[in-house]
Amino acid sequence: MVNTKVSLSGVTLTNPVIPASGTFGFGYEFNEIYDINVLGAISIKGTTKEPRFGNPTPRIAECSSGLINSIGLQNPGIDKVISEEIPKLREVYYKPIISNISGFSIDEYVECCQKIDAVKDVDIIEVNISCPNVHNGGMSFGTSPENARAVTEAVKKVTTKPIYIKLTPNVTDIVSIAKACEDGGADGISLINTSQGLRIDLKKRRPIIANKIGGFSGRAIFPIALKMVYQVYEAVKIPIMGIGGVATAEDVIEMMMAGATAVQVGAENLVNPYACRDIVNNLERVMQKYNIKDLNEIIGEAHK
Amino acid sequence: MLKAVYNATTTSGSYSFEERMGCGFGACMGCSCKTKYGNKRICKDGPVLVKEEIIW
Ligand SMILES: Cc1cc2nc3c(=O)[nH]c(=O)nc-3n(C[C@H](O)[C@H](O)[C@H](O)COP(=O)(O)O)c2cc1C
Ligand code: FES
Repeated sequence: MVNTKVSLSGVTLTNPVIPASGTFGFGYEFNEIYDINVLGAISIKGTTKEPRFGNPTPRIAECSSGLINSIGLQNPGIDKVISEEIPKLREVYYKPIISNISGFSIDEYVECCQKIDAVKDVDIIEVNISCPNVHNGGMSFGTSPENARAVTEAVKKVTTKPIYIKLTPNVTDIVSIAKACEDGGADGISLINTSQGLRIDLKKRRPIIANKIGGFSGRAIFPIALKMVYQVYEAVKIPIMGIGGVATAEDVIEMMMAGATAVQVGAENLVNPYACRDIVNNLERVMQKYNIKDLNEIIGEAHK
Repeated sequence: MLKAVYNATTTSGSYSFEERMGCGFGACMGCSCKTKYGNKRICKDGPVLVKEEIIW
């Protein structure tokens, strides 16, 4: 018998496999094709204070080993997520729920986090600071250590649940931003969000995505994500959720060796809707292959 | 083309839409469109919309 249990700030996961926010809806959609209770946890669709329709379509462009998305945070708004979506997920799912929050000002983050903190069914709050700060000329909160720390401190003041800050890789120095979040009181770090990319339709001679440039993710970004997890692990003491290009049980183990305590799977859910279930099913076999008895022993092992 | 048919006809009717998709079953919001009956996903709530609900 091997041990696949891991713990994120006191929340126990039966395995470290988590579908990433935005690629798994509110979870119950996937329960129509497999039993989602095999998952370690679920990170639900990014939620904002007000309902959002999101960006114009096309919002998706395929690439070799990945895809570009430009959804623009379409969601029904925090109140509906609390009154309708989370209860609907809870009906079919009894494992931990990670609620992913976005905002365009510190006040919006604070208001949403305060509301979600009061929801009994939510175990961890993941604060996505990759969106533009409208009060700061549109620059993302996640691109400066000062802004990242300011959001972290503000949401920590109004919450009791573990706060994981989700970082964008589109920065010069990811380590300084992760450290700023830790200094601001974050309980953990989720990294990474999407990189950026472009595709052009040869017949139309125009970008495929209506907003032209979108977020690029999937298998192609795995080494980039792995590198960032590796670097941040050396600099902070709080746990890391490793995200970016994870598609197999081997990838999960590699991400954990780099320093992740749990791992999220994004774009691969859109390539193979059974991806997370398949990874969970393969995990014990791959652990045995590499002589791993307990996943907790390999967290950050590549640094020794 | 759909729009041309829509504009050229006075009868009601059904229109089958296409969109670039991510998941194909209603989870990723890749294929959303606005209709008079609210936001719909071409993959799950469509692809066929009735003329009365279409917003171009
Ligand atoms: C279609 C799509 C929608 C996404 N929506 C969100 C979101 O709402 N909030 C968020 O924090 N990240 C969002 N992401 C980013 C993913 O959660 C993840 O961080 C990123 O895609 C990298 O992982 P991957 O390479 O496994 O896709 C989205 C990604 C995709 C592909
Ligand atoms: S393609 Fe994902 S919601 Fe339609």
